[in-house]
Amino acid sequence: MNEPTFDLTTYYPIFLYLVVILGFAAVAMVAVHLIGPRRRTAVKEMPYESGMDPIGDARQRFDVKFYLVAIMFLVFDVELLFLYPWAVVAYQEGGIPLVLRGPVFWGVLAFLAMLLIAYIYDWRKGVFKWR
Amino acid sequence: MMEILNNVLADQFRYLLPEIILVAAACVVFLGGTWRADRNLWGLFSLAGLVAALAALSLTSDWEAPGGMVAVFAAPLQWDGLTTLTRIMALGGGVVLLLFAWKEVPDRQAADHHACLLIIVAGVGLVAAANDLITLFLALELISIPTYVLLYLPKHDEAAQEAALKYFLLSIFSSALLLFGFSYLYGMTGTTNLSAILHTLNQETSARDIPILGQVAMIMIVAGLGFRITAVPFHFYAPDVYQGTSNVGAALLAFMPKVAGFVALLRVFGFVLPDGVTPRGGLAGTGLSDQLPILLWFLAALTMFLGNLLALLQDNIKRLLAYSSVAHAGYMLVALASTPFLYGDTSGPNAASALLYYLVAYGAMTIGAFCVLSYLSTPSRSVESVDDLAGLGQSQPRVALLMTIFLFSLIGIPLTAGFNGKFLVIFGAMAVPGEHTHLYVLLAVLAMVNAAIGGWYYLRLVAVMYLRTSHKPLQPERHTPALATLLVCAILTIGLSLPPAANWLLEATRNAVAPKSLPARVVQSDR
Amino acid sequence: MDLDYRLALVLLLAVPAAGAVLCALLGRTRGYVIRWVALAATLVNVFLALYVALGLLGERSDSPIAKTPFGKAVTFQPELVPGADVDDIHRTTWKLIDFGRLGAIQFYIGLDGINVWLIVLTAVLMVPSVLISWNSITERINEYYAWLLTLGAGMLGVFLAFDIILFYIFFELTLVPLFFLIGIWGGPERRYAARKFFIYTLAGSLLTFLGLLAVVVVCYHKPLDATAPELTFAIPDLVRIVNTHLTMDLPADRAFWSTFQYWVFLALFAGFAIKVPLVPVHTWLPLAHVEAPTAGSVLLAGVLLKMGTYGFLRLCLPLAPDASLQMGLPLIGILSVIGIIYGAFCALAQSDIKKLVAYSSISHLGFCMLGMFAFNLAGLTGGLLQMINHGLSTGALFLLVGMLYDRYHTRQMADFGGMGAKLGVLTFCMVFISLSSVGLPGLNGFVGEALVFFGMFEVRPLYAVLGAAGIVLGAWYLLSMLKGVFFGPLKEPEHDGHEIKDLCSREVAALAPIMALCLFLGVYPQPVIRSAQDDLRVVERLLQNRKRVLENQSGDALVQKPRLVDEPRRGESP
Repeated sequence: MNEPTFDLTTYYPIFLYLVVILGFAAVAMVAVHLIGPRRRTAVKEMPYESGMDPIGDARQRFDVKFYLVAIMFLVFDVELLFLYPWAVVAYQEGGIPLVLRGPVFWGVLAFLAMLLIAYIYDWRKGVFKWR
Repeated sequence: MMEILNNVLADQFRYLLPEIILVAAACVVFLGGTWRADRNLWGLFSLAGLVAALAALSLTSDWEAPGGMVAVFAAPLQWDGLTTLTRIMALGGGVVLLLFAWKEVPDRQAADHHACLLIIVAGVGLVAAANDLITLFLALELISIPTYVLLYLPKHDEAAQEAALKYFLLSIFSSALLLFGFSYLYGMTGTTNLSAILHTLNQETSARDIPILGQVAMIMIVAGLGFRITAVPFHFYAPDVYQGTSNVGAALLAFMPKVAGFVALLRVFGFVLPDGVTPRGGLAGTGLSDQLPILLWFLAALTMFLGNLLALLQDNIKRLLAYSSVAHAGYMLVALASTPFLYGDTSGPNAASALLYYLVAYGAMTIGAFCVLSYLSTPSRSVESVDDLAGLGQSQPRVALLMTIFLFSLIGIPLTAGFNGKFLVIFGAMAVPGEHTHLYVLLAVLAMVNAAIGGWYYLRLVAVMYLRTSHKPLQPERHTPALATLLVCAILTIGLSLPPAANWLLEATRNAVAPKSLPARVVQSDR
Repeated sequence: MDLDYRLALVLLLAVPAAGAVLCALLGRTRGYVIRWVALAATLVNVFLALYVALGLLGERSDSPIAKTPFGKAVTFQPELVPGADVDDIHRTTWKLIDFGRLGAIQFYIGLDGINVWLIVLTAVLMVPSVLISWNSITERINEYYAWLLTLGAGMLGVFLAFDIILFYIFFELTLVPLFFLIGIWGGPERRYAARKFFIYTLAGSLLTFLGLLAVVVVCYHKPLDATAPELTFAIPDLVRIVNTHLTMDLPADRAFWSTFQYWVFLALFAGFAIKVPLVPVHTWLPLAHVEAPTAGSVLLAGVLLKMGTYGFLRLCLPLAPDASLQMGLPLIGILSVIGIIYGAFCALAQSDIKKLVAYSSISHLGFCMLGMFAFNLAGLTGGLLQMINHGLSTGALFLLVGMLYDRYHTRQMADFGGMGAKLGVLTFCMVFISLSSVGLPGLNGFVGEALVFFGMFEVRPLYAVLGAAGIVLGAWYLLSMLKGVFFGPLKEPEHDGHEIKDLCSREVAALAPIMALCLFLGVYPQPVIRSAQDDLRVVERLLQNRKRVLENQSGDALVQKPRLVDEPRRGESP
């Protein structure tokens, strides 16, 4: 077995990437400081104009509804993550082998059905009612 | 070659029938529960689902898994005796816990509760079948996630909240540890297939030159699964969670995760493998073969002592039973620790089969004990402290008798399944051959010392029930499903200690861990 | 009537068990029926016990020693084994836990000369236990008789078992009923006494269990025939395998067997010594005896303590002969002598009659152990006889104390005086039994004690002399108790004024058979001695063989052990 050679030069794209990122950040900050217009009001002085107050207790209460929506979104997000790769390779030459196409198809359908059931469950439980 | 592989993969779905039925039933119950809140309806439906899954299991378990070695090295699931036995344990436990839950869960939560239970049962079955790290992890999560819900459903007070949250956080933590360990195994061997991993570890490859990787993997996996089996030092959630949640939640936590955890440990460390996967079975021959038993040895000793000693101090019955469940995990760890040395010898003393036997016995007696507490509790008065049981021998002689049976079984008095379990475990530990004999005899002595300590606090409960009188006797209502649970548990506790049932179970556990010979077409998966 | 002996042996266990279930099912209210059911079960058992005893005497035409070819390790040979193998009627085919092709835990019960009289003793003592409880137990009657009969079945099982695991199962099972008997129907300290008794004996017997398993495992790992490994739990097989290995005496194995035996001896010692009880671990006994209801005390003293001595005789001596010879004699000898003297002095100091009798048990069991650890036939026979004698006389003493207590509700000696004038029959019985317990020639105690000391004198005269002092002390405390309570001017304890009557016919019926047996065994102990001879000789021969080998091996190793005082060494030329 060959000794794996460790050569720093193979990593140069990473360093290049680092330089670009740092450079961009620096340039952007400096540019904003130089050419940005300024109106000094109390609101404008905040780092995020329409967001949370960054100073104070970090443990603030959120309405649980935000979480529910976020979780629902996540579920559909993951669904896409599964469906895209399957759709790409499903009927392609060299993709899913022939004998497995049937089982995988039904598997995907079962997955969709599961999501549907979850969706209906959420609906019935009143997740979508805003208050 | 590819043909066989694809056929094997396509074939897996047929064997999954019991789990598919369970999940489908769970979906129906989840959805249906949003229209009608009726515990009788959904209880019966879930029961039907479990029975259907049992029927499906009896149909599918006879099929000879095709594909031979290809299946072993490629399929994400494997179908051997251990899988079948674990599925029977899970389904049986599911039926008992369902009947148990009937009374404890209010109408509104019944559907969600029973559906979660069904999914947990399916998860335990899949853990046993898993032949792949990813499948195993997913199956374990399939148990954990419904458990969080289930812990909180029947009771809504602060203690239950604390219990559910504590369990949730620690469970996630343990899952992370487990994944971390799995990633090392994958890094060492380049595959996630369990059989292939063990095969590779046994080969003369570079993976063996870095034993530290293997040790990290081993420690992380034991830690991650140790949480599920309440092994010290991952036990500390148990008393709070058991005390906080409902009786049925505690009973479920005491049984289901333990089954899954121990079976997963048997699988991951290769204590149950088909013939020919590794030369001597399991991790023997790898750099880990020396350290793993030592790790398990100390874990077993610590778990027994801590569980039993802390149980001595408890006045709350559920906390007492929680520590007792820690202690019993210790006895089972004794069996697990002696397993590497008795691999394959299923005719004589065999530690792996003893472990499975103990799990069944333990399930019957612990679920029974929790069910007695549940049966005696009324909405206005729940049985919490040891003193609540005072005078039960007079006021409720039949229930007291059942509780006595469970407690004596937990002590390990003969004519109960607990005795047979302890006997087999100790017998296995004593029979470890070779240079480790002395260590394991010492472990057996420690186990016996612990059994004596255990005798003290279980006997305290018996003494309270029979030797004291109560100023305020308990007035439980008659409740058929809970009574059925009690009777089933009692019959199992007594019946499994006597022929012929004892021999059936022994035979089944022996078959489950016997190395199975497969057709000789040994083909290693491409990596 | 023609009843198959083997069936009778099974019935011996089944009848009390069935009686127990029946009593439990009859409910709390039918006290009268329950008592008669219990009495009937025990009477049937006495009949069955005598029947199988006669059966054994008829069956035994040749001794195990005679049957064993010279040079092979002798072993026990139970007769009348139920489910007997066709090829070998001394083995059984009934399996409990099957380990497949290698072997199984068996339901292996049988009779031989060692256990037969203990069976009879147990069956006989069960009858007075039921009779004495007739009126004194009024609460939860069904449970009481159910536990009493379960206890009976368990005790019989211990003596009958020839499978090592079955032995342990019965050994442990006797704890449960006694726990309830003491805990529910006992005296004021009953809860503490019951738990202490249970945990003490459980802790010891768990270690014993390890020792038993170690023997099984070693016999499994070192089969006599290496081609056919065998997993056996039968006591005769295990004795044979262990002693054959010892006889072969392979130099490579010598060190292993020597250390192995030491550990097995210590493990078995842990459980049996607590049961006997030997002195440092005796503290549960006075408490349990005093707190137990009378029937519990009778069975505890009469039978349960014998399970410890029986365990030594049946398991410890044959399975660990070297360790018994080298370590057992000094250790158990000294502990027994201490027990004899300490127990006697404690008895002397008691003001409670029941406590006095309890401490006398510790003293008397010391004789028993001393006899067995003399390792010769006289000692072993004496030890066995002493077991039976102590069972009879101490059982009867507890009965009498219980009868006295039923009348006056006190047991303090200071409260009584001159009872002889008031309770003539009771006094007669008390004097009779006390004399038997003291060892008056012509009554049963004498024969056993004499044999024990004959045996011990040959081996360690000092122990024998010290032990004999216990007899004198025994006479002292029993006779002074008699003098204080039954003779002298009449002094009745205060009671609620109801008329105190002498023994009724039920009480006489409880005592009479025991007294008759005491007299019979005192005058004519030959049946017991003769029938036990062959089987005791098995133990004796195993031990004497090892003794000779050990002496040759290490140049008189036994004699070189430290002694208490300098005494002339036997067999040594001056």
